[in-house]
Amino acid sequence: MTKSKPACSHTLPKRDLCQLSTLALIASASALVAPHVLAEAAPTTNKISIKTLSYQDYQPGIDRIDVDAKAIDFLMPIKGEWSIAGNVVHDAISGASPKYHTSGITPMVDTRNAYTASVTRYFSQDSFTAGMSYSKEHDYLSRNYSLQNSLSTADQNTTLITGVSYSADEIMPNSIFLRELKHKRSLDLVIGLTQVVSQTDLAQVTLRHSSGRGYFADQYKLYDLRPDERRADTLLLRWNHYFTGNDSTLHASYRYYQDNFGIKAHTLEFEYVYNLPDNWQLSPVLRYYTQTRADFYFDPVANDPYADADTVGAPISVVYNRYLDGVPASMDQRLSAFGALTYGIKLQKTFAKTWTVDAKFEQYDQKGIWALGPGSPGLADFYARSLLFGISHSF
Amino acid sequence: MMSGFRLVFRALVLGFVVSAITGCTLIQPVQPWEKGNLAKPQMVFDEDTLDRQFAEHTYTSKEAASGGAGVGGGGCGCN
Repeated sequence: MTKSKPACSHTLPKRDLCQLSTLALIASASALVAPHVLAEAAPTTNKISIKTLSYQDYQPGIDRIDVDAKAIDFLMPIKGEWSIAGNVVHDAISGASPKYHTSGITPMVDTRNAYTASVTRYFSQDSFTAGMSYSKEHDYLSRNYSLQNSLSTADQNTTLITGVSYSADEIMPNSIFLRELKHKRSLDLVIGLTQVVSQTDLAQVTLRHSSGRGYFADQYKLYDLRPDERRADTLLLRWNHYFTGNDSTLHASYRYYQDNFGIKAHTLEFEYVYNLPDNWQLSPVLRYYTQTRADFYFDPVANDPYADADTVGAPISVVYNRYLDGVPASMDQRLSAFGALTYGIKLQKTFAKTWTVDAKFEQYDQKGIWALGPGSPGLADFYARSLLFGISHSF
Repeated sequence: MMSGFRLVFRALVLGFVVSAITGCTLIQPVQPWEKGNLAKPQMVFDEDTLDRQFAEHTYTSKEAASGGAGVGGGGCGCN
């Protein structure tokens, strides 16, 4: 240890880069072109949906990020051969986030506005979708462009989905760890196959390869440095089974994820959609997620000679030296090894076949000891709860 | 592991091409008039767009893995 003690002044701006809101863009882009069975069939009715999200995550004794989100989504068929779709999302984000591990909780506030739009052209056995999305926060800007083709066999029992998307992001400097505008660009390739397995079963397998270059670090985390390249592969298997006996449906899915950060993750999810009398619908949800840690994630330590009162438990010697040498290092909880369980329930009521109102509650619990393999030690457990309300109308 | 992905990728394409050309699969084909239950809204993958969008949104803010159902890996700001 020849370098001087780091200037841990901890004058990080009262803001955090946990721009979880920006991620809606990914989700929206995914939703925009997510494979559906019989995707080549043009929609016949207009649909408009509104949804609100109240989200709060927390660790024992400390509330972290609070998000109030509002979204409106529409789908409009045109002449039986075209459709346009889009949505607008507004997020109000506030609360606090850790500078390292689950410590150094620092206040933050932000808003985000995101827009997506797509147009689809339908043919007898295939369809083409072109989409774009835009998301803006005061320190983050993202643009995404996507193309997708959906091609079915003549009997429409098998559908091949291929897609490509390109993202160009800008990260604006807003902390002592970032002095200039940074870019991040990524290319995604997707191929999927949806198969009608029986009169009551639909199966789908999707592969995604993502390749990105640019700034992947978190400017608000202490001495956070990550590779300037991220390659990720995802395998997603989904199975929907309809139970004729009680008019219910089971959605089962498994996802495998791996990337060049060294992270491997497994996700298993079940949703049981149970139709009740009078057009009520009840859907319990259960999800388990586990990931290994990134190669450059460092656990908390008991006593580091270079840690001070503001960096208690942080392996400053190691992380700071790597930071100076340009070698990746991070103390971000999201790159640690953990397991997480989500459980929730959704209640939905349909009126006059065209109006739908729904409410959903979800609880998320994340713990190191719940990891499938060795979990990361020394982190506080992490929790989140979500409450969603939605209304939708077809006409 | 990449080779595994390439293998699955090729199997997917090959499976589709073979089934498209021969019109036969290992699975007994379901006829159009037998698809009443498959056409129900709850049988659609990601029927509730905004629900899935918010879920992906909040998960990606807490977990390293993301995506899978479609293209659109860009725009990730949750570093």
